[in-house]
Amino acid sequence: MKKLLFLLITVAALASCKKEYFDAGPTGSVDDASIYATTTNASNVINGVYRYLYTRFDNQNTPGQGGVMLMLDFMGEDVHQALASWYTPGNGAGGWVNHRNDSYSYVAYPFRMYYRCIGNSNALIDNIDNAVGVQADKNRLKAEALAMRAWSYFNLVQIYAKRYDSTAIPNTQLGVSMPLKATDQKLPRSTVEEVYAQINKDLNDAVALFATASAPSAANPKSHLRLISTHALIARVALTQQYYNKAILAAQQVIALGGTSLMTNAEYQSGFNNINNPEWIWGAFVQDDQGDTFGSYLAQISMDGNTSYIRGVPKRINQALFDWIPATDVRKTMWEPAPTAVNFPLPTTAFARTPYMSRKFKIKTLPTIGDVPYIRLAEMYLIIAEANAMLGREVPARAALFTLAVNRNPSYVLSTNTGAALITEILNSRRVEFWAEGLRWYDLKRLNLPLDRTVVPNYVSASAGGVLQIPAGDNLWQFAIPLSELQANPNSVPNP
Amino acid sequence: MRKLILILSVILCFVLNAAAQERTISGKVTNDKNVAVEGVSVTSLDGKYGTQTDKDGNYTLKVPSSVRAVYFSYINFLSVQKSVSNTTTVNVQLKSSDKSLDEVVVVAYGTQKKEAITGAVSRIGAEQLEQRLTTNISQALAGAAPGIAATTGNGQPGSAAALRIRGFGSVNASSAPLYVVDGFPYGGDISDINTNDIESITLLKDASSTALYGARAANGVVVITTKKGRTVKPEIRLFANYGLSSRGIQEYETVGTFDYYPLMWQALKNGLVYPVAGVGQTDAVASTNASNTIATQLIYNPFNVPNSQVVGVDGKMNPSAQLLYNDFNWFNGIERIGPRKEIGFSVSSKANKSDYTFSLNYLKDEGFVIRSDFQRVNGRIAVNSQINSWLKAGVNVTANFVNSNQAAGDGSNTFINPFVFARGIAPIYPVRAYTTAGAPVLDAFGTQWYDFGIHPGAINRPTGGSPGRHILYESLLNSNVQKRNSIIARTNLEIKLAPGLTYTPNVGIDIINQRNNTFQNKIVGDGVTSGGFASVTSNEFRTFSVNNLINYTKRFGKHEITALAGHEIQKTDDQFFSGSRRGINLDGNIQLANFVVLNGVDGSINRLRREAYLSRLNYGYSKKYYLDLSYRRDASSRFSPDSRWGDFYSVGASWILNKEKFLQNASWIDNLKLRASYGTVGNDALDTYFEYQALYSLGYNNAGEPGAIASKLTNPKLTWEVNKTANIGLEFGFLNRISGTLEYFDRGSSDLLFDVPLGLSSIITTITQNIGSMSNRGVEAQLNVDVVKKRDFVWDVQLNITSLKNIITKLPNSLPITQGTKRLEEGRDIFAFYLRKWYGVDPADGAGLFRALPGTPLGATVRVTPKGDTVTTNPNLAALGYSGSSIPKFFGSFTNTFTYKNFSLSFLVNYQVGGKFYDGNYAGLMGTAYGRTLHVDNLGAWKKPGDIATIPRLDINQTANFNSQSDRWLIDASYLNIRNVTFTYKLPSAQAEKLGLTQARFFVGGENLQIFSKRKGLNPAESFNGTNSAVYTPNRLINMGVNVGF
Repeated sequence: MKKLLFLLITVAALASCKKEYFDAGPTGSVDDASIYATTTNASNVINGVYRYLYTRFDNQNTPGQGGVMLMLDFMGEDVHQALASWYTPGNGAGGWVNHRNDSYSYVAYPFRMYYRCIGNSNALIDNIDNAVGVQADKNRLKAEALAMRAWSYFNLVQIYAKRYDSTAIPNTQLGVSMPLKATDQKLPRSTVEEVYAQINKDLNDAVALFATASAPSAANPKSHLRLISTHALIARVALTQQYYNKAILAAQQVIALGGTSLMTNAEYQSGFNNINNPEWIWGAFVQDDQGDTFGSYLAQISMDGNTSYIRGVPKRINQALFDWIPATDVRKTMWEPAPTAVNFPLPTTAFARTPYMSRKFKIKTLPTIGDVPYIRLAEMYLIIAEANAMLGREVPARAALFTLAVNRNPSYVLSTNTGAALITEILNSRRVEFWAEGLRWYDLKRLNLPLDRTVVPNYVSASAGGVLQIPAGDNLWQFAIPLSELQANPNSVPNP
Repeated sequence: MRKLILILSVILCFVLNAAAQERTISGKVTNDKNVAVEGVSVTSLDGKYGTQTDKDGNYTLKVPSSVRAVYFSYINFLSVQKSVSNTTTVNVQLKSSDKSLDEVVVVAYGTQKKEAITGAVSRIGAEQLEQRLTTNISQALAGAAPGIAATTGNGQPGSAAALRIRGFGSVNASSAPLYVVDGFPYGGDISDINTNDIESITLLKDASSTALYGARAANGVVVITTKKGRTVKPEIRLFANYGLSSRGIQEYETVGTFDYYPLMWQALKNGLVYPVAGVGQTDAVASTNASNTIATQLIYNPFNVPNSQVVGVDGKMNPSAQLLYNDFNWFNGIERIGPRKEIGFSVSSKANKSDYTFSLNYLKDEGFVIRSDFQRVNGRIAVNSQINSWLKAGVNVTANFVNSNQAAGDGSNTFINPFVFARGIAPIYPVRAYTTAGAPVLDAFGTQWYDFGIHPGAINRPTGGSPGRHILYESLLNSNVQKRNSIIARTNLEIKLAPGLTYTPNVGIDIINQRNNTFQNKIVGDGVTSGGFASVTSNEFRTFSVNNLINYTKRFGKHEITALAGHEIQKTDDQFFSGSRRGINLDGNIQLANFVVLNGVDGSINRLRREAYLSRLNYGYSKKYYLDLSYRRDASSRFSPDSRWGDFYSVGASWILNKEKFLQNASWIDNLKLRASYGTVGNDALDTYFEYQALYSLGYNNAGEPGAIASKLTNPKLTWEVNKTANIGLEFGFLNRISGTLEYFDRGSSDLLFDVPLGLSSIITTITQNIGSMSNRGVEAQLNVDVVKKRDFVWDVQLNITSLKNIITKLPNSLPITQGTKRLEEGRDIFAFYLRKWYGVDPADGAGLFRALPGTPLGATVRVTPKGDTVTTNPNLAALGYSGSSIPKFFGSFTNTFTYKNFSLSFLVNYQVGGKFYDGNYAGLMGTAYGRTLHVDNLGAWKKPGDIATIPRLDINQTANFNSQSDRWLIDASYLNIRNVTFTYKLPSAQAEKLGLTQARFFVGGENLQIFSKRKGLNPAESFNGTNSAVYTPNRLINMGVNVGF
């Protein structure tokens, strides 16, 4: 009897498991059914993408979008450093060798980063219509995802394909593979023309949807792509495609939408780390617990982040470009030709000083936390100026340039330059204005200009593996398609 | 008093003996098959008179009449004592002491007579393990049985060796074996297990022996059984040993202080002569420039000559240059001789239908790198009781406390890894700070500063010299402590329901709480940026397992049947929590409360659920024929409800040939057994616990808004990876001297759990699918030979050898997959190297040349050699090809044991022959970077046109190209490792008794004494895939100890 009792008790306690026994879903992640159940949940996805853009990709010098901006600027002539370090041979593309090595991690970095943004945007676009929620929220999420996808393809096609040439329509040179659904895989490379067509379509669709969309619930909506940033992207894309009239209209639209204004000179000197700056249109809004001490934008480019890279390797400006800046321009104070402990105070004595080092970027909070500027209003004035100048309309070109220049330099008088000189003035303004904000390499490429570091008096050849000149239009202007893409995707092809 | 009487009577005996009369005793000694045995020692009890049997087994012994009994002893036979008081003829039949015949081996869910086993099983007993003073038991399994390949593990005390039983079962899921401790799969850390508590380890290698563990046994099973009480008289054992750890593998040979400057001068000069683009400088101009600027690039000049005069324009070191200071050995301060202490005791007994054992063990193992150690306290208690005629109950609980300082020797490329920093820094950068004049820089207290870049007057080293960092100073100030508390508990009941029928419910609980505290100081290193940084990561790991087993045993006539049916569940919860703060307040307190700003907090729980039904049937006939069938059905929450269940089975048979009539007269055969088995087992050991679901990772919050990002694609069809193993084995024993096993195995994996690459343009870059198959075919053999078997001297040899061939038989879409240095392709093996083809050095300009891809057009980086080969200096254009594999031709171990009287000496040597190794550490030392050191081989680099060299010109701008990944870095992976040497002295039992001891053993020995490989510094046993990284090199341990029982 006792035996039976024993048996019964144990068997009853340990009888076969119920079905729920196996329900052991994760808690650090969420399944796709839950994430697309409601618009509130689905907004996780677009926010995840924004956050991903300020998440370290792999190495310390790959802090998402900020890292791509720096990597491309280090491939130019205006941002450089005295020593080979991050961004130069061995640890970056500044030497113009590694970006052609298809198995190099810095080749995969922008490629994978933008495609991951695209994949998540695609998934959001595919699923948002079935989510429970009001239409205005769905429109907003879809519009943001479309603008994100367009911006990502815009970066990809500029980095991995030959430039768009408006005199050679259709641009049949190979662009990039173009998945437009989350399930799309292993697609062949579309042409550059097709990629730009899709970019423009997405941006136009986003503008239409934003018209009937709710506002983002964020404390600071500038961390989201919005109607104004979409117009700014349209202006950028049109400028790159050399569709100058369209670029002017879009840039004017950005200014007309209001809500942004050029910053004061005091704000200009406050460190480029605050999304609340009135000039910022789109940027990363980094919270105190979202920093990556060594893998953040400001851990690379700020003057005062206390990292060994910043302490030992100050970033400096092209001396020739610095010399070009008028003495009364606030931007002249962003760099110091002869830094000393007095004119260039630094947090500790362990920080090195080198001539023409930058004080443009400062950390917002310790250790290296601060916001990252993606689009600023100043660019719109420069787009209007450049596009007009390219079209030979020099009066409006000078006027647009004046609006920005006089803000930076109260003594500025309306330019009297004409022709190439005016264009050079506008482009130089861009170089100074957007130093280390990731535009210079794109500018050289879209304008089909060569890279020439020999004209930079303070360039240290060793810091870039001795690479000082790259001819315009050379194959080197295209990054290699990453080997892991080529191996997995038999439909893709490498770059020449 | 009694002792005194004893001693007196012994003395008395001696005195009396001298005067006694002699007589002769004779007879014949045979074995249990009535065959004469030669060499049997026949002695008086006191050992004073003795002889040996001749080849016919006869002996004659003269003894005084006072001798009342003689003693017959022979190796592998039970000793016999015979009275001789009434007779002069004594014939003796010795019984074999070879326990193997009746030996019971722990197998899946129970024990089995060794004879009846149909699968491939190796047993390692306590006596074998006692020789091995390894902090982590996995290290002791290297070479312990055939078929096991083991890495050396690393030098961090407590670190595990990775094991592979019979090849490589999986590509993306785990290939590691399952550990089972006292009946349940073990969820804890292997380093928590106390070697002294182990009774035996059984390795289950084929499907017949592992199938009962079904779903998780695909890569073999390591069954660990702990000790139980055995003697009526309580047995007390004390154990103490002391050892010293030092570096087990020497450092790579790097250049000295006086060689570094000239070599980097070459790199700088060649960069100017051969620019990447444009026209180069003439040799003379470049030489002058290099002499003038080399010190600017290297920044530090430790010589008493001006910067521009350190290296002459001839590229030679200034002959009058002398060192201002000599403080360049970074390993000096980091390495030490690390003591290892272990002390333990156990008490055990079996009486009155109950047995108990309890033990306490303390271990402190300090690594040879500072701030790395492992401290462990184990307590264990096991009690079993036959409560009444039908109920037996037992409990076995182990509690462990582990406290370990961790050095960052994990292979990661961080500055706090000593093997990155100290190996890499050039020998011109001093450990301590000096002025440019060479005077020590002192702090306010007169102590010399470390040279860490922030001290007063600091200048920073160049990038290659880890500027702003200091491995020694950081190691001293930082801390990384791992603490672990674990409880491993097992209970069992055995209820006899009817004759032969028992019901056994068992419960197993594994609780492991682990916490990592890290602290980064605010003075030097990473913590500077945060003003001091502290983080805590805690993992709470709980596994709860229950199984219910019904056993039935029945004998009728010559038939013998055992049957088992059971059900098992296992629940695992893994709770993770981490938090970090920055900005230290008061010095000395590294707990979070003492830090000002919150850095981050995170936490989640992962759950795994399993369920299984299992059954086994053994049938034996006439003790000659055995059949073994098993079936198991398994479910895992890793897979979707539709494909959750997997069915696994096995069938095995064995035939004891020497019991057959036709061999009965072959008395030289002690054992001859043929066995064969076939079966399937599964594998679900993927990275996460929820593999089939489409997932978005949480925590991607954008400013204040919640965010998530896609992280995994769904695959509801995902299911068990299946391993099919066929095994044929022969066990033999001849002439009482030779025994062994010979096995052939064919282990095929199908439905491989494969992370199929989708390309970087997809939303997720891989999807886990059941695609592909692979096979491991091979032979393994073990041979034991008693070479010398004399009364006083025994020499036996054990030899293990395994040779296997791994072949990938099927891949997704039949497409090859290239990963790192390898390529997976049908028809190739899992570790086939696929690399760019190195060609050599161009004598004209010293360029490093690769064979160009076929069809590459000539250009700036592509040239044709005089031999007509198209070669390139641009590795992107280099041809790729297969270059061998890291899988050796054969590997194994051999053990020699010499026993002379009470002394014994044993050697265990592990070896591997064949295979290739990609020496990435060496490649790293061959490239030039300002501040980073160089391998001495660079002294032979190309210097001037016409030089025939194998090392390309040193060129700061081309180093990445010339030294890029290629088959140039492959080296023969053969090695010989003296893994263990032990010299033991056993106190003779008479003397031990006098001291009141039942036994006493003293030993001196060593672990991992020497590895012989093809290059100094290289450890070919670091990994299975034949690549290395900056890991904490294995240690060498010299130790001595004592083991007594009373």
